[in-house]
Amino acid sequence: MATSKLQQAIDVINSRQLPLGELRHYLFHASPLVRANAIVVVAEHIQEDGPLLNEVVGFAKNPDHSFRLMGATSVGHMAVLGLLRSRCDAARRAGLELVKSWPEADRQDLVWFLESEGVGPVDVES
Amino acid sequence: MAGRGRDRRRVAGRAGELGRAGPGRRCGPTRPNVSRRGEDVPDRHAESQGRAEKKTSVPAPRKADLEGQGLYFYLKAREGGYDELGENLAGSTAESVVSFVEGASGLTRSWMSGDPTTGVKADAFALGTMQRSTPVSLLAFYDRASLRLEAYGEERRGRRVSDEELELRELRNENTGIWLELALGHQADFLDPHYAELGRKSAPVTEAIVSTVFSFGVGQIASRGTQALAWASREAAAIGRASKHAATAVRYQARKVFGRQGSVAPNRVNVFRSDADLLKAKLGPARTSHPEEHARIMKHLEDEGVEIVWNEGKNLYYSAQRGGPGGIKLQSDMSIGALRHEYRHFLDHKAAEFPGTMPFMKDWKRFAEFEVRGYQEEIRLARELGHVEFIPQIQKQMGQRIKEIKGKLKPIE
Repeated sequence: MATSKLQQAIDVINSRQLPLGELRHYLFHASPLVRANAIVVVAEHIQEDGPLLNEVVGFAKNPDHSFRLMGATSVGHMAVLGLLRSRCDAARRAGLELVKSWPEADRQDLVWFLESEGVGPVDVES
Repeated sequence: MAGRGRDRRRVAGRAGELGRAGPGRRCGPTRPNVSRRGEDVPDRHAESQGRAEKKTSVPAPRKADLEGQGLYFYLKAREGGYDELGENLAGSTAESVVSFVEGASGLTRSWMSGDPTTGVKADAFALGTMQRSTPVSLLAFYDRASLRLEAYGEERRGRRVSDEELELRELRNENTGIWLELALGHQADFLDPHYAELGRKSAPVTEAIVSTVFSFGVGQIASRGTQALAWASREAAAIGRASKHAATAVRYQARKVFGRQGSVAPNRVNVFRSDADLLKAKLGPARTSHPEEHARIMKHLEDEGVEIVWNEGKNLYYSAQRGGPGGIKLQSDMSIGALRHEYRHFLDHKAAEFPGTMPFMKDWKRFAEFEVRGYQEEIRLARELGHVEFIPQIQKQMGQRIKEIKGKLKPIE
């Protein structure tokens, strides 16, 4: 069976073979599923506090990315996951700040998602 | 169903215009493959050609096309929906429709020979696509084509129909839900083995329903409303095994078209919200309509260690957890349909040994399967309880959800 274009996009993102410039294009893909995959991989490219980190943080905060993918998990949640999984200290700090300042109504779901994916426990009080 | 009315004609594309097709369409007159018994047979050459062409994008119709040659009829193949469906089905368990479904092959013949009222012939591209269709994808094709014909008619009367409006009409079209469900039922590797097996066993039934509904629709489109029932009945009789199901399908269609004219009015868009608990209005809360089942499910969730949160007035959902039972957000007045939907998600995750969310994010089919199976619980319930009138709406919710994820429809907030 032919692989759908959607799956092709997801596969190419997760192959981690794309240069950052091309990867970024997928952050604007029509499908929230593709955007979710892309932001996680983009976050892996963060080396230091700089424009790329700001871009990922901005992506996470963008209300357009509050679309629920599965259960309570949204595209924005995936961006926070990407930050907290980063090897860059600044990214992880930014991720934690995002969790703390996350809208109250959705924070419990975000924390649940992060912890269910093995990140945490996320201490939002500290 | 789209395509009702007296002024609609079956075929777009004027005779003699076949050679004008642009890139992505085969050009030149088409010589039909017809057996000695007059039946259409699959055109293998056309099939292979069609596959080769599939990579070529289908150009949007030009204004001139819209005015004269009815290329509004064209399939939005570049958008993937139909083509993926057709190709996937053709590549799985279903066979080419032309080989054995009488109604469909009859239509194909009709298209090849031209519409008797207008004298126009089918667009070669459309015909080529049909030749590698399956019953289900052909129904989808028919529905979409009908809607486009309808829009074409409106444009000729001076009312422009936007793509967005067309898309909404497609969503609201009852048959969209039907073919979507049938397609998913057919697609062997799309659903789990249980459903795949079910799909194989019920294939003749499914095809009969499609054939019957299809034939009925042909009658409508040809402005022969009163004949449509007779055509459909003949289809049903021809496939005896499925007569009961086919008759149900016919009655369903007939009621919509001839019975209550108002019943086919489009639903409001917000009924498609993926979190809507459609059955609640009919059944009431699960704890009172199905107290035993409600208690049994809740006990099972508790015994499994699922974190249960009462989320009054908000959405219901199951949240997966990697290596654990996850959490579920419920409402005290949810219907048994909504409860079964979320419970199904839990059961599916459990069966997959709680992989968490991420594997689904990376596998579109698995993701879609997960979503569809939740809605199928609601559809099954509606059937069980005889509330079949809800099925099209649930199917639309399902279609809406799939389109949202694919990015083909803006989520409705």
